[in-house]
Amino acid sequence: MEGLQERTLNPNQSAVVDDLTLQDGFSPATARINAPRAITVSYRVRSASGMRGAAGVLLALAAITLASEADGQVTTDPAQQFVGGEVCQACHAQIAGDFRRNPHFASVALGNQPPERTGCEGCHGPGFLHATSGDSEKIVRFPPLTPSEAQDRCLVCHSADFGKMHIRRSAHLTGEVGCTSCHSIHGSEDLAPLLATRQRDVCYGCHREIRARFDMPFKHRVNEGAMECSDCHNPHGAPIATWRTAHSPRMMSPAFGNDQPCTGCHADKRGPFVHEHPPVRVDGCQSCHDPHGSTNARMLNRPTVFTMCLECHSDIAGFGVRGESIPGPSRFFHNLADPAFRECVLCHARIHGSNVDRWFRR
Amino acid sequence: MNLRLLAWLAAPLALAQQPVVTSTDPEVRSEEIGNYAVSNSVEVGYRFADIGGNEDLYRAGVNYGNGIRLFKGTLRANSLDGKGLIDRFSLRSAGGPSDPYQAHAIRAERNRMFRYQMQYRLNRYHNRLPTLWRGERGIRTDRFMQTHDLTILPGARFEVLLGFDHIRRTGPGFASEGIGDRGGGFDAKNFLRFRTDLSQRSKQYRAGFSTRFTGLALTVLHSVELYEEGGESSDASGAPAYAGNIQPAESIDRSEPFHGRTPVTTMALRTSEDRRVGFNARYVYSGGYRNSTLMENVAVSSPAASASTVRDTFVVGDANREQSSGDFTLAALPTARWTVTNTTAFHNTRIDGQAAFLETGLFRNEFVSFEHLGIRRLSNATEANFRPVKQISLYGAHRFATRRIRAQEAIRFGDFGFETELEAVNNGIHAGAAGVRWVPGAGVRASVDIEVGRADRPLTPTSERRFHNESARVRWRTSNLSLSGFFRRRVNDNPTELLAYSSKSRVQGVQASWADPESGLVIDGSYSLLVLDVSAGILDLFDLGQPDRPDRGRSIYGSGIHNLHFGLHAVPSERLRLWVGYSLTKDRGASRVDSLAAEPSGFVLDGTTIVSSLPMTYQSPQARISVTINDSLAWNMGWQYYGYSERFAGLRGYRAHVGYSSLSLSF
Repeated sequence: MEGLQERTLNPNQSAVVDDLTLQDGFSPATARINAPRAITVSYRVRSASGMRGAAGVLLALAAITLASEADGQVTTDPAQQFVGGEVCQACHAQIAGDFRRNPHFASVALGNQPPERTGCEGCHGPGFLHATSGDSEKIVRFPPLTPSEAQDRCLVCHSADFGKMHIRRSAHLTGEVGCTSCHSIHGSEDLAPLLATRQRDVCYGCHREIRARFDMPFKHRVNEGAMECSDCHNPHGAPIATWRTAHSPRMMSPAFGNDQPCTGCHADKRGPFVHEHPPVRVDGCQSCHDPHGSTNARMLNRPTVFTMCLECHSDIAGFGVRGESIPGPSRFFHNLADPAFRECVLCHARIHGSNVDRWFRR
Repeated sequence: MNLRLLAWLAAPLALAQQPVVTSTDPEVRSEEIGNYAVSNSVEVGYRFADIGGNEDLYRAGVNYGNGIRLFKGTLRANSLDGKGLIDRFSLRSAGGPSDPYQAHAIRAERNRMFRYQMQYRLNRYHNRLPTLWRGERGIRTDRFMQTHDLTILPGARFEVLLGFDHIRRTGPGFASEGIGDRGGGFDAKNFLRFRTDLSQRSKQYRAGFSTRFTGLALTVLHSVELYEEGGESSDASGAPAYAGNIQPAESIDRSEPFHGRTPVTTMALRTSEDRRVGFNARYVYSGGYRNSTLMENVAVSSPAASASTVRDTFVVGDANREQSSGDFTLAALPTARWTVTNTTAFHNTRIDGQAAFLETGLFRNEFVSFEHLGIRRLSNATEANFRPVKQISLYGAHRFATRRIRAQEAIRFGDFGFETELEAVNNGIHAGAAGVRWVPGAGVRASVDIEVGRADRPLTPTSERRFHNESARVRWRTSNLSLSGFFRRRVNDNPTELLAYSSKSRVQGVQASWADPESGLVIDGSYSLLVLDVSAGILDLFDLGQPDRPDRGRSIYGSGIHNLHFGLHAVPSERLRLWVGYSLTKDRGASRVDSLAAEPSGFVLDGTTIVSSLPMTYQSPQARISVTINDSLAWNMGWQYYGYSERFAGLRGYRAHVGYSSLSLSF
């Protein structure tokens, strides 16, 4: 019984297929079609065991055709004809079954979405040719698509999302990292964002050097589950940064709309303060800190504090917020031969900003 | 490659790479209960830790202890027919009750009616480490964070957005601080040990809407954050005597309440349908208002006065920060081969702060101070992707920004005072980038990128000035094998007449993964090398009594971090799953600082050059097994070793064995 089959329904003939159980939750046990005129439907049976599903395909296709005619929306181009998810599940029963746990199933459960916005064909496009021919080239498959092509399909529905406003200029897309590079629509166990694996492992898959940073003795607790990469980063693209030179870093989620993401949690460092430490505001926290991991207990860029401070506080004209210089410590007072002066923050304890002292000592 | 196979491969890969010995991710099946597909899994067990060496260092970096723990819990329910009160519900938990890191998340949704999301996190943070030189700092805080988001009518033309965040940080801390200054007459090297009860609270309320009309989407969101901080400090009893302490404290009390609010208004307009030409525009205004007070009373034995000296300080102040930023992005896809975007953004920050300072002691000190910092920036970026053939994609970009920084300060002591001019510095940057992505065959992907930039009048010597970045990446993936390599180099030079700053970093690595779907065997390994070489001109402050010593010197810092990962996942039998992993991080310093090997201080002074590095080794092997008892139950056991050592300071090292035994229940 394998191969191309045809079946003709005469006018007003009812076709009944008993015991038509395609997949629980999708179809009634019996399908019935009343044909107002003669209609011939072609379908392909791929195996004898697929007969029951093939009967469902037949009836569903007939119903679609008839319904289209009744609505006056006859589509002459078979490549543009939608068949509905019931047809797909005849062959892709496992995927259809798992799809009930998928967030995208909401569009099916809703029941009132247009065919191009729901179910299998919402992403894979019209399935008529594929369903009748069984040819996998007759439907949209994601693996052969380029990242931008795959993304285009996702953006049909997701382009209005606030968090994806900047996706067209995101470093991920320009680096040929598309939606399906991180998300697995059918294989995700982590259902909310449909990521292929845990978020940190998705990111570590490419950003191995950042993973190395999180293996440093002092780091943000991403590996321990206390944080996620997306607490600071927006992998879908972010607005131009409001600190540093605006274009770097590129994928940061601003806190409070205008601030660095660090201040979202470290509220005590946000200020404003009567006396601000200018680099915090102008060049950002990364001027002194490595947010991923460091050998310094305060995640500073250098293990020794005084060398880091002195790299900027050099008393050389041309730098600083006034262009005069960034004042250096008094050479006669701050004698580094005395270890007391090698830990600058012992005295300059409010280095992120102070309400009392312009030298950040209280 | 088949999507399902990809997903299958990805899951055990993640397990093989798992960085922390924790939950074993039992397979979760779903059952139909009523009109819902329900799945549930929970893993509960006991974690133990055996710690040797510097326990403070262990707690600052790892902090796992003994106790009962919920390793992981998930509950999911999805409606089959969309007719229930809730269409989707999920609960995810990790950590607790004795774990220092806990995260819980709830999501409940009714299609087109509401969507509620909640996240709760607890981070018990411990960091009590002596600094490398002198003094102590310690903190042991609990940071609670919870976020609630409610969307009414999600997906509809008009959505209502509501939200609430609460962050609370409490706990004790202490720090050595120098209290020497002007009016009190205390010596500059007078270090006291403050004990502080930290109490910080931040509450944010959000409300807004998102609507769609004629192909556009508009989001308007307003939020207000209320922040308060009330630190009470006192002299810590039993404070160690430092060599630099010449005036022991008799008593110290400090109170510094600090509170304010941060209102934020966000407006975003964008095309809601993916078209050949789309745009998005965003405007954000945020304010920041803080009021502060400091009251301090310090009494020390003063050699100058031959008696106790009391210093009282009272400061009141307020600071305002107003920020506004906006951006407009135009994205055009003129043909299927081209994507062109242009973004123009502006940002303006204005910070004004003023305070009245009164101090009494040996001398009376009274003044009013004012500071202003303004930052205004305009930036633009044009980026283009062109795909001449399906296998090749070209990328090009030009970015520039111009920034104006203005600062002013004033101090007035009674009738006397000074005020600086409102001075401005203009600073600009131009950068160009180009890249090629090549897909020569199935599963093979390669990319090369370069970026070159120039800035004038950078803020600091370490800021970007003359920089160029290069990176390359290649990956080959088959159905069961993945190989990749990457390289990136960043160079920034900031030459000046008296000072030259140079930073060169290099990152390179390889990765290999192999998975056999039939046997369940997954092997994953990677090696990364992170090299940083910094040379900076600095002030020479080692005044060792040499009057002819030059006042300029040089600081050299070198770091060469080798990072190795290995993971293996095997299924020896139907009932047994096995994971083995190993990670090693070793900073060997850099070749030019090898002479540091015998130095206990972390740096050497070679003439007027400071050469510093911190060679260290951090390694962590781990192993886990999971034994399936029946379809719903599994027994798990895991072990992980943490070993940390520094070459310089023998006391800054630890070793710890951390393990657990747990039961996983799923249905």
